Amino acid sequence: MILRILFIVGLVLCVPAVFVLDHALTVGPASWALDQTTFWGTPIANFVFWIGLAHAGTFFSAMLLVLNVKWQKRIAFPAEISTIAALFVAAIFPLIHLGIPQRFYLMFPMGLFRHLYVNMESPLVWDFIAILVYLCLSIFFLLIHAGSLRFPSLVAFRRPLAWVLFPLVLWVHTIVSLDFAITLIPTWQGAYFPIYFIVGALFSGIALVLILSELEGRRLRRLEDLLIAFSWGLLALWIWELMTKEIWCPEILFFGFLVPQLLWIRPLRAIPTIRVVIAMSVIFALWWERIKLVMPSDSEWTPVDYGWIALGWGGFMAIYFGLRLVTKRIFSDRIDTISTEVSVEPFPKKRMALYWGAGFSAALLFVAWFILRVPTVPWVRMVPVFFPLMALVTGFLIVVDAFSRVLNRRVLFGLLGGLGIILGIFGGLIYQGGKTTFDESPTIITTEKMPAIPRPAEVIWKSRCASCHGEDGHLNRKFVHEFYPLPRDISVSRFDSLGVDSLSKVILDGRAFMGAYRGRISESEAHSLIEYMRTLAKEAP
Amino acid sequence: MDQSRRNFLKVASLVLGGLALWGCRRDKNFAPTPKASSDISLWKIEIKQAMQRNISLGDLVPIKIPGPLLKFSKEINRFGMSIDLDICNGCGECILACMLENNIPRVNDNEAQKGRFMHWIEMREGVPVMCSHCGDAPCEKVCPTGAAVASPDGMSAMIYPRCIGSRYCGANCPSKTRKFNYTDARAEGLSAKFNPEVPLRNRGVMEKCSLCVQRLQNDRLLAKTLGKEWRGMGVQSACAMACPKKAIVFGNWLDSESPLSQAVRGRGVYTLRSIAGLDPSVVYLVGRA
Amino acid sequence: MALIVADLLFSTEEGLASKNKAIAFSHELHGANIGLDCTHCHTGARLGYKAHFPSKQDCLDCHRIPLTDSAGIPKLDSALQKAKAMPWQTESRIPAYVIFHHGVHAKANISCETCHGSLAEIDRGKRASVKMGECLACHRGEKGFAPSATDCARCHR
Repeated sequence: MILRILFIVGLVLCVPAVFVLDHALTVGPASWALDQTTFWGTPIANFVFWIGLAHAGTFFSAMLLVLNVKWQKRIAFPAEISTIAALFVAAIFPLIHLGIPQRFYLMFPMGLFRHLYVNMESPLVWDFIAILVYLCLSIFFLLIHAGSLRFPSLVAFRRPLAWVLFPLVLWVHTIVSLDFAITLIPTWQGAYFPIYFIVGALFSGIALVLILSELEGRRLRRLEDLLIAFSWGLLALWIWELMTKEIWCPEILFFGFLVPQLLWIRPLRAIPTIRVVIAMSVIFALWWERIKLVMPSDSEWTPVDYGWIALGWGGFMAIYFGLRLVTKRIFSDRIDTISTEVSVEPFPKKRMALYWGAGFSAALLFVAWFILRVPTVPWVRMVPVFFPLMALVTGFLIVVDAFSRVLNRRVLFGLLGGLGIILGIFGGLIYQGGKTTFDESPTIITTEKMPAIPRPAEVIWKSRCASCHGEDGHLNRKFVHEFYPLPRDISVSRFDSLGVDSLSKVILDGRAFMGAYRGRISESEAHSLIEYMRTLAKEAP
Repeated sequence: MDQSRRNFLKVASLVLGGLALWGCRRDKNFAPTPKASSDISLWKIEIKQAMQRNISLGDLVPIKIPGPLLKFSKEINRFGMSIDLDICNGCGECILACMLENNIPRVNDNEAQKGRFMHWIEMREGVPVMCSHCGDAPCEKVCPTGAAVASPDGMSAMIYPRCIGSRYCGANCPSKTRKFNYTDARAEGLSAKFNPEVPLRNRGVMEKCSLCVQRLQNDRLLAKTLGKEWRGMGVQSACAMACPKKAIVFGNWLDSESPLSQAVRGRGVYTLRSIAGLDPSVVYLVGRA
Repeated sequence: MALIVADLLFSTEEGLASKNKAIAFSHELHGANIGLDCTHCHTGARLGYKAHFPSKQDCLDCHRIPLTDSAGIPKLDSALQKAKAMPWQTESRIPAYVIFHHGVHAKANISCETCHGSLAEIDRGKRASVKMGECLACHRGEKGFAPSATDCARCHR
């Protein structure tokens, strides 16, 4: 019942969210708090926050599965769903953030039709790739998990996939932190950023899972312990931040550190509402911390900045509780029972090595191809994308292997073919790129106007004169054989006898069959033309 | 199941209500398009307004005279400027010339209040500050699409059709001289095509001082067509041309005969502290070396 | 309505304008048969950004004298008499943020046909391809010409 109510609350929140989204997209980045020195605002902060929350699901299924923690199984399925929901929400924010969202495809790391490539030096590209891969693998992971409820043999594939996902999660947040740490902004610098970001992400993620598990009617004491542990870990990083950059935020410390300490008090901890409130306080603190971190200046917030809260939570709640209700109806409560009871046979090591090897070679191939095409990119800058690409291929192979066990071959090939066609269409569209756009009305090409600067005589001779008089001054016989009298062949003696003035008069005013060029050739150009003809005459045999 | 049907109906009506509301949202097609004005006095008023803001300049630190670029060590041209702070009195003529040369739009009142001016040259404590065209430019490194890209001629170029507006370059620019097109100046009638050579920019792209790239391109192409070696002699940026005291000098750092090389001879060469290590091409001259 | 009628009435008077050709211009006849250089009419092609079209005066340079005994000549002459001062015009297909300099390509000995196609193809209505990918392929030396600048700011502004 509570899930259903929250689902509806999420949908209700979506209504203002749609307005905010529409307004933000029609007005653009002008609609939220930014200026000409602060270019990254609340969407980026919200993105970092939601990516952090997404880590919860992966943490509780993949990481703890790999680490052989038993109690994770009770909450793994909802947590995985929350990952997908949070990732979808997180992916919206960078798109809104872009000045021209429809050009986001220029971030795809492929050779476009224009023979241009992304700048692999930019952390945003790493980010884009890593998060795309993370989303794909999270979906794979959830698919395997959900599939294992119907086909128990799929359980064997969860652990290998978890081994792919576990490092990827750390990788993703490291890259997100590099977005900041690699810049020259003093408040964003810090070699400890990756750890700082990962700890923060896990902290808020644990708080989210705590709330979600309370909603499922389960209490996980370990989660509460973890919350306390992480609050101390984060405190250490905050102190570090204070010492190196003198950044100090009492409200974050209050909500993020002091409030979780209430969990030490037994009677308080026993009350579910208090536990949820503490977790919410942690989530709020981390959200506020992300905001402070991304935009340290105190620009005045617009309604759109507040609207992101509705967009984030509305979207998350609608997707999460929607999916949760659907999965509950399909699987009822088998979710925990089956996955815990089936004995897991170890995945053959050889096959595992094969998949990892394939992923490694695929990533290596990509890097080699990219460096071949764009030799200026330092290979070190390709390292951040190497692992996500490798993980994508490895994870994909594992999933295909898993489903090839349980699905009819025809169905499997159909699915793969469908996927291939969709990806092909998508890839083709990106390859084609946008059309050349005429933002301004195109220039009208008409007759040449006489330029302000005199043109070189050689050029004028070749275009205006040579068609009759010949490029070398010896008549274009193909054309002038029709004329009578023939234009005279040029010779130095004739030039001397005629003189510059009368010659330029001929050029400008015409004579016999020769047209008048006044208005098309300037007087100074005519003089330089005569000079040029003299040199032609001298060269003449 | 009755419960869920009721819920479904509730949800559906909410969604429909939302969609209906969305349908009547403000439609930009109804907004009248203001008439574009190309009255230069409007631009002058805006420059005055922008110059009244107090933007701190930060420290100036001495650097070496810019030499060949590390990335393009074989090139014979590296364009840049020097601004003589002993002569400059911060009159702001360069800002106007720059705006007219590069078709820089004005901003509406709302934007002006937030300080979101588009001026490529900004007066900070009476010192004109523009993009320094760093040889080791941090903006180029972080641009995901390569829209901010180094040119072998020493410019840090901006390719507008490739810009997706991630604003990473602006975030990473230590001197904060990049400007983002927050509004569609053309739709609001705030931009004018003073110079037919320079394209107007769209909403959502970054822009900044281009070192009057159009003038360099025109001159270079003419020289190449005539088969001459091109060192950019005779080209001047709009601000350098407009400066009433001739405090701004444009030229080629690698050409010892260029006015730039002559102007810096024996002078103290300075730049902003934040970009001192980035090999800037636009420098300040203060006192004797 | 009046505008449509007016358009119907007056659009026929365009004479030599590219859309309603009274007499089709044959590039092949002028170029291949008579041996005129392209720049004789497209006077900007050797020096400027745009190649440009000939003015009426440019046409009349030759056509004011009876050139052949062809039966079409009187018709052509009368059409030319009625033509506007700038008989030809077209919209550039290069956007404002890109520059393409005809002169520098001519200087590099790249024939007009490389991009514009043969004269016969031009007569059939072909126009030069202005896709950036094709520009770059050539500039990278993939089309048989010497590699040239691929730096963005050479062509973009």
